[in-house]
Amino acid sequence: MDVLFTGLYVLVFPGFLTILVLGFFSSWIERKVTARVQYRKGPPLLQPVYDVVKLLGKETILPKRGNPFVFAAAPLLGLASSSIVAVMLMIQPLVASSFVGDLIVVVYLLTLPSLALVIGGAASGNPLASQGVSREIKLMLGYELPFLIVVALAVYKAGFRIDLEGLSGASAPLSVSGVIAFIIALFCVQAKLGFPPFDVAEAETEIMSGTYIEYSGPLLAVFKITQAVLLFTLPVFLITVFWGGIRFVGLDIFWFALKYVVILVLIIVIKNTNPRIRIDQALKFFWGFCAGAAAAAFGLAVAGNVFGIAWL
Amino acid sequence: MKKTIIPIGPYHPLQEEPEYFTLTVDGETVVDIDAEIGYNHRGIEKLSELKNFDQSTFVIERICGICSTSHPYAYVRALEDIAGVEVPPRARYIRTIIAEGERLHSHLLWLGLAGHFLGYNTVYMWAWKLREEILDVMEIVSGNRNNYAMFRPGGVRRDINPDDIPIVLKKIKKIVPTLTMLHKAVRDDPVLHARTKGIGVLTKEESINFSALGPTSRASGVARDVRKDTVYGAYHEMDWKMIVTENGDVFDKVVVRMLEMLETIKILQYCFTHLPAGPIDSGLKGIPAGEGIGTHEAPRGETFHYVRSDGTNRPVRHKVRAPTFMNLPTYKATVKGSQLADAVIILAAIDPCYCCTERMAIRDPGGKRLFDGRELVALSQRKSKLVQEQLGIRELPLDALGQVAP
Amino acid sequence: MKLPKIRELLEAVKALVVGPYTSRFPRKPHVPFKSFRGQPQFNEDFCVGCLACEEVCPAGAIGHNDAVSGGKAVRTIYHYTDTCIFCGECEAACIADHKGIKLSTEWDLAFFDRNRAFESIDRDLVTCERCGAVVAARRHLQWITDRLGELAFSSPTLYQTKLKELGLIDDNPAAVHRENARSDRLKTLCAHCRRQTTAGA
Repeated sequence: MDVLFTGLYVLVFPGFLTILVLGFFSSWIERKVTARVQYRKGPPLLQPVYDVVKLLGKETILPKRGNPFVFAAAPLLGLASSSIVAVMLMIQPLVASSFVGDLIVVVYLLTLPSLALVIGGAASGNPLASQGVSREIKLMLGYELPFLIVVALAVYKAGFRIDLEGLSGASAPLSVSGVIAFIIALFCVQAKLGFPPFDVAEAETEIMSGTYIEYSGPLLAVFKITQAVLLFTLPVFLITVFWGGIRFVGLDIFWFALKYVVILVLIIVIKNTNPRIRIDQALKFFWGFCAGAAAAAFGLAVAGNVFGIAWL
Repeated sequence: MKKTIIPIGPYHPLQEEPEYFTLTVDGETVVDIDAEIGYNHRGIEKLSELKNFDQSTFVIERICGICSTSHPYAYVRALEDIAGVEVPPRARYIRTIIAEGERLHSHLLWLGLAGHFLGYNTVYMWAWKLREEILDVMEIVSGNRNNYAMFRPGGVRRDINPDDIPIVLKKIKKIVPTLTMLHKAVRDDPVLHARTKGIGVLTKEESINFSALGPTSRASGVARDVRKDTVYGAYHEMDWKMIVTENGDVFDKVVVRMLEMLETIKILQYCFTHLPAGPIDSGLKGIPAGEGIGTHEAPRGETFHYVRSDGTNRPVRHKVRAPTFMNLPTYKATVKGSQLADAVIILAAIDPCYCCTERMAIRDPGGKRLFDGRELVALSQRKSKLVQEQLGIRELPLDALGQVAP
Repeated sequence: MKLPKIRELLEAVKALVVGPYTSRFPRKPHVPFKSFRGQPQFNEDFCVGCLACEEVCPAGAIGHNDAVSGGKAVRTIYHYTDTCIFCGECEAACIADHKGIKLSTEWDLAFFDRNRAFESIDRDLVTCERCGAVVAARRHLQWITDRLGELAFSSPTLYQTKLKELGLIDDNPAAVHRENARSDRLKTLCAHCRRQTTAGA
């Protein structure tokens, strides 16, 4: 029975299937709101599904000059890692159990989709893709630093708990440092999603979708699914770590949904009110402003702890 | 670091027209740029010589979908230069309305595209939504959103219905708040500043040396505008400002166009409210032998047309020079040394219109250029001579041309 | 005052409240403005078949075909939708009070078969009673007669067409004579035969 339940957890609820549905739904919300902000009508509810189904039905074209095996494996790596994160984040409140250090696993796995993009792009052997790859690597170097600082801050605030359960109990947002950390984490999430203003790696009008340029058919569909799953996972991660966590009981489900929608709307608003910035500007932004602000927030948190001021 | 060649075009999501740029890139820095044109040559000048003067306006109109009035405007001015006719005031006002409406929608189109190139798709959609209003105005006034078919040598083809004017004025007024909002938003947006300020600077000297035209030169501090420099249309009868800025970077080019749109709205409103009564056509019958030039300040700069007539009902020679042809070489000054990510917006900043610019190019199957411009001219002269000999046509004596343009 | 991003946010909220700008097109049909230049359409009541529209059309979108069969000559004027540029020159040049061919506001002109992308109008022709060549469309000759008034009686071609229209004569009694003689001058003649009978005989 245990095996059966575990299988159900992983594959159906709250596992892959649920994540997929929620991911597609998030993707639809994102596209719909974007469309409405731009005075457009927007796609129907099932549009993300249609897109993926259409792509799945197409021919897979492997690049001649690249490494076909790595090229095909990269998107699967991305999808696998992002799904595992999603399952871990969703299963934790459900069975109320987490192991020590699962936060580190999650943070580590969250870098894998970007890495998959890098590997896939590099394996495609396209000069534009290599431009995209170099940009993606630089971007990753940029946002991982402030991201890790703010996650460390959350860990510190939760009393050095490095498991998701411990973190979700902490009340980080109710302090100045928590709010700063949340904002910076939001920027990092924006970059992880590859949304404007940080869509430098795929910049359609500059390097023709960069890392994605050689992908077509089912492999591109896998990337699309990965993106949809990430669009769901990353806000959930933010809620778990910075905003009181998730609980699937009574009214808390509603609060979770509300928090999720707020974060999604913030992401969409940032996406739609900014032009793409250059990669050097992105690096400057993350290493300068974001890392600085994150360190300052950390300092505030430490000070708050030392002097016993709760709102810091 | 190894130098990579990044091709932009001939088919590229950045561009709506086939055009080929070779960017030599060192890391993210562009060290050289080369532009190739000739993918979309349609032989418009020759087509124009096959139609009579009246019909040619429709061919000329189709040189460019966006400046579909600038070319006919310059063309009919060239014909009026040959014939020496006065255009009635009402026709001048209607011409001004059409030309300025086109400027407005062209600048909005550019603004949207610039947003798109910067990955700012919201501005793209907002600008194009605004553009719909002005396109509606043009549909009410001329009967079509583009290709207005309004110009005829000596006047205009259609009159403006006085009943439409209040509707049109209301629609124009509706544009103003959003346009002002967009202008202020551009002025204040720090991210946009980071992307456009100090990027692709074209200095005043470079602008003069490259003979840049229109907003591209005005952004560099060269105060030249055909509408101010020559007397035509209704421009000299009203008060409007020529927008000139000093920096010459992409941001200034945005600002020049945004402010120009507000000026254009002023001109449009004046024209619609002060539309004089009277005939719309001077009844020009036939074009005498001679040659004439016509210019018009298109949204992208000065459009220049040269027409030579031998007294028949067709032009003997019709030469078109679109503004982009002059603005394109400024890339050599602006793109070199910029970041690859910036190259895109710099390429877009002159508001290039490639199909206006197209010239013929003959290549071998390997893609190597076989003839340059001078050789092509020599080739065509040889061909003409051959045809003349075969058909027994004598060359046109030069004194038959009558008056010669200064 | 510097208000970075605030205006965009307000506009975005406004966009969310106002709703899409796009029309609900297939469900709600598009109605163009009154002055829209759409498909030119022949008018059966006014077109005189003079071909002025064909003459001025800059795109060559108007053509015609004169068919003579069994003593009946018909001119079919075609307007090709796929070539048309909707410039309105045909309407401007139409001699029948600009009503023979008129731009409509019809814009939905997509088609699958390019060979069927045309519309046409048939006009009766008057043929030369001497050589059988086409003189002009019957309505065109009537239009000229009306314009000329009594001066039309200087030309047998014109006045006979008019008299036939009025029902005063059925056939030209001179038409049966087959010699190059004086009777030819009273026939309905094409320009060539008119020249021959007047100057050549």
